[in-house]
Amino acid sequence: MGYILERVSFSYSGTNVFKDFSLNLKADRFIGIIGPNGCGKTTLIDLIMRLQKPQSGHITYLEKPLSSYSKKELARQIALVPQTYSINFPFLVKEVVMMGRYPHMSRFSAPLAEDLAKVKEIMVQTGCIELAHRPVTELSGGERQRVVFARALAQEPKMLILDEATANMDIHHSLHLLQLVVKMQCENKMGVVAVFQDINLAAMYCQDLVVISKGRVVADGPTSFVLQSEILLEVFHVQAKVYFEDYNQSHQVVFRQCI
Amino acid sequence: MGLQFCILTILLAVGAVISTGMGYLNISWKEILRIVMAKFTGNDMLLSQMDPILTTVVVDVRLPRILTSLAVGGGLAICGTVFQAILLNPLADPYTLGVSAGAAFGAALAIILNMSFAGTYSTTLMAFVGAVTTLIIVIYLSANAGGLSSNNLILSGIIVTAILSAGISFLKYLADEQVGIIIFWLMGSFASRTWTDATLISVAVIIGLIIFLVFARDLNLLSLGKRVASSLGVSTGKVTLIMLIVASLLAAACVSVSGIIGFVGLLVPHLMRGLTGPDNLRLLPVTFLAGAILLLIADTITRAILPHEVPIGILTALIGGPFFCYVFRQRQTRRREF
Repeated sequence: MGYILERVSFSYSGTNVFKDFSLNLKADRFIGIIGPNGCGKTTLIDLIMRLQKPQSGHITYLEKPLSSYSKKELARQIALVPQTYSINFPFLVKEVVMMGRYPHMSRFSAPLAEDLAKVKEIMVQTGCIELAHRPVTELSGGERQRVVFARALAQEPKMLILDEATANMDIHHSLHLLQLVVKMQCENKMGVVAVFQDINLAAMYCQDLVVISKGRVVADGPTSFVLQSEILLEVFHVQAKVYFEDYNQSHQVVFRQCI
Repeated sequence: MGLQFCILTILLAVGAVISTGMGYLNISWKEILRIVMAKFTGNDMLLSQMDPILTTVVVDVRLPRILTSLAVGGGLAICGTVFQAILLNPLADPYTLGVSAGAAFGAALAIILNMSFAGTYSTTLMAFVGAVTTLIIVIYLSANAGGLSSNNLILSGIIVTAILSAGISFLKYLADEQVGIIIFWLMGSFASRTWTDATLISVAVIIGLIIFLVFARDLNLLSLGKRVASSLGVSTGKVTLIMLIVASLLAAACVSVSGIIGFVGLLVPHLMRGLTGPDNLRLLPVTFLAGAILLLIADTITRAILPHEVPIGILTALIGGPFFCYVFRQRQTRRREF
């Protein structure tokens, strides 16, 4: 079992985001999280990354309380690809990807051969290799997000957390990186927790879906089971048809109108 | 890092020897090396055929001054690098949090009240106290539940600096004949620094540099934003606070011994970032050396080349400013973003 959240409550300057929120996230699945804006998706990520502490309740990760891990241990286990990213100095792309190796390196040691090899491998896999010697400040939004993605993969996490990680990418790179994540998930027994805005993209890759609305779990389970027009109507207030698409072998949604 | 670091180290060493030889008395580099060797090894035989006045000039007058200028230059430059990295703002410099205004106010107060509780070091000590008090006030003003945000820090620094500047103007207005001393102190000088000054500031700068290097990679990660830095194992709040305090204390120490020397802390990190890239582990040692070289040159010009001593703060701004404009413009035409 990956994460267990038990009766977690969290409020942000007076407004309740979660109250008695409970959820299990398995360690070896590709889990998608969907829900309307402001439903608490990003706060959920902050809580499981320990960027915020719950006011009450317990979060355990791999059967130990999340709070018992050191920051460095967590950084070796869990990697985040954020939704917004700014890089304030003209670091080269390869330097940014190398930063993913920092949790595995001691303070002063130069990168080892295996670190360099890992960074190179990830840059090839993510298609960043031709950007390697360019300053990140010169890249387009989508390119920069790819670099940030590569940095997270270089961390070799056991748990990869994607916070709308493909939002700025073109369709080719979105599919390419999500396929890569699926491949690494199978090969490395990695868990993935991914927040999506695009429900069809989520449906293509996620084994499980969690639907959150107003700080509570509306549905949780295998994608084919969770993805129902009634649930989409209730949560997003849209009329939608869910069907199985032969072409990409996954459940897909078409929308008619919002109500 | 290897090559740039070596070249700058050699430049610094050669520059220091040449500078020691320059001045009212011209001393050849061979004589300087012999004097230094003699003092290091305690072997006075090396000095046997030399005019003892040369030894006095080199050991008691020029070396402490030169060493102080090197340490202050290096110190201000690494402080600037660290401030720019924590505040994520290329316009930040060691004085962003009002350390200079605090030091100036403290020094002006000491001068106007003729304080002499610590002998000749009273002004230096009061400057340091003023700088540290300012730092505490600025951090208190900008701290909130979410930790220290860089906008809050910059804003608090500006407000406190504005208040203190008015205070300094008021002190100058009250000062009568001491106003000249205050103005001269404010513009910075390395004249008549002693071995005590040189030793204290060198130790402070070396300790500061070591602490900065320990956190250099954390500073790199902070440039990815607090959330990501935290996910990569950095205790962002703690690191920010430690770096701010150490950098401000070091800047305060520099200002206290030399007065307010502008531009080094802003200019050198920028120039060196263009050379080494923004990786702080490589950048910090190189900015340290470059800052030391810059102030060595500026101090040598005012001490040995110009007919009259010009305050070094004026000189660094007059030389550094236009040079910075040139480099800045060059970069604008080459790159879209700075």
